[in-house]
Amino acid sequence: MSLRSRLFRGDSRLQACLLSDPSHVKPGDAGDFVSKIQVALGRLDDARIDALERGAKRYGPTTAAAVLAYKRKRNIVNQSYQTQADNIVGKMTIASLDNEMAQQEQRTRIVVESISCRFDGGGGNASA
Amino acid sequence: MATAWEDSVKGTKKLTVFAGSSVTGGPWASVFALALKEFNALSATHSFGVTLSASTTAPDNNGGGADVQFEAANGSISFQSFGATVSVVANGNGLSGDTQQVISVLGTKRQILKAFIVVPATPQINANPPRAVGDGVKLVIAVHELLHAAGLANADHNPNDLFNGFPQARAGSKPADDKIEVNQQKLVPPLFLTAQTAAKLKAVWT
Repeated sequence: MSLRSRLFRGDSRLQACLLSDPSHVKPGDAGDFVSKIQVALGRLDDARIDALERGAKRYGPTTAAAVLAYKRKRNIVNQSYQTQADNIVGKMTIASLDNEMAQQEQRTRIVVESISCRFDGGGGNASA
Repeated sequence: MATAWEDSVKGTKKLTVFAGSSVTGGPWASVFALALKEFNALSATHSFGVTLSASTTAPDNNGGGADVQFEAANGSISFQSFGATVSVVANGNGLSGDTQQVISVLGTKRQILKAFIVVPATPQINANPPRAVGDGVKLVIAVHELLHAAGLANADHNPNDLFNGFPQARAGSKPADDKIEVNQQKLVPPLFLTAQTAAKLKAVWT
């Protein structure tokens, strides 16, 4: 079983998360794999993750809150040992995120808008 | 027409801006820091609904890292973002600014995901002979492009303030006196915005 969204596929850390319980992603983690989860939460749930957490690619309090909200909304609970959702990204959560991202990517187009400005129309003298 | 940032960024009311080594190691270094400060001062005055903060992490191709990247260049420069290639060719001695908005289109919903600003590496002004332009003009260029990065489009240019679409550089007797002239011979800096321009930005952030 492999991750299939463009956002997640090829990421060995997230692939490990999909296959192995001890490889879950949790508060305190940091790196590109955390950043990808933050991006997915933003794109899928409009999650409001703190700009500094996003910039540092760090699984801080607002990332944890966004994960918890995502899991609660979808009732992602491992019934074998849990009665309610937690704020950790494990196998079930990464699979759900990946599936939803893959679907969204199919519907979304990326375009680049180019804006060029020139500031050299004159050349006379300033009279400040 | 201005474009909103994606909801997850818009909700934070903050954009993070990464300056590459072309900026931090050259003539734009002090201007960049001041530009963020000036943008935030304008935001406080006009209640844009967004402030800028510096980031040390460049945007990556997957959407991580800073929201905006600010670079100075002489020649071609390119970035990868969400699988798209963003390319700019800059005249290193020019007086110009380029902003590229990476936008997701989902049905009729358009949202900015990242923005890339490119300014000339060593901008010059025609002071007969040409010379390096003063920091005041560079500040105008930087803040003007940051307004584009925050969402304003080409059609949002306003002749009456620093967001003028046809600004005219005016050389002073020394670089510190260089200015940009906008409508009715108003000179910037000092930086100012009209309520009309501010309202366009506010509309996509609040």
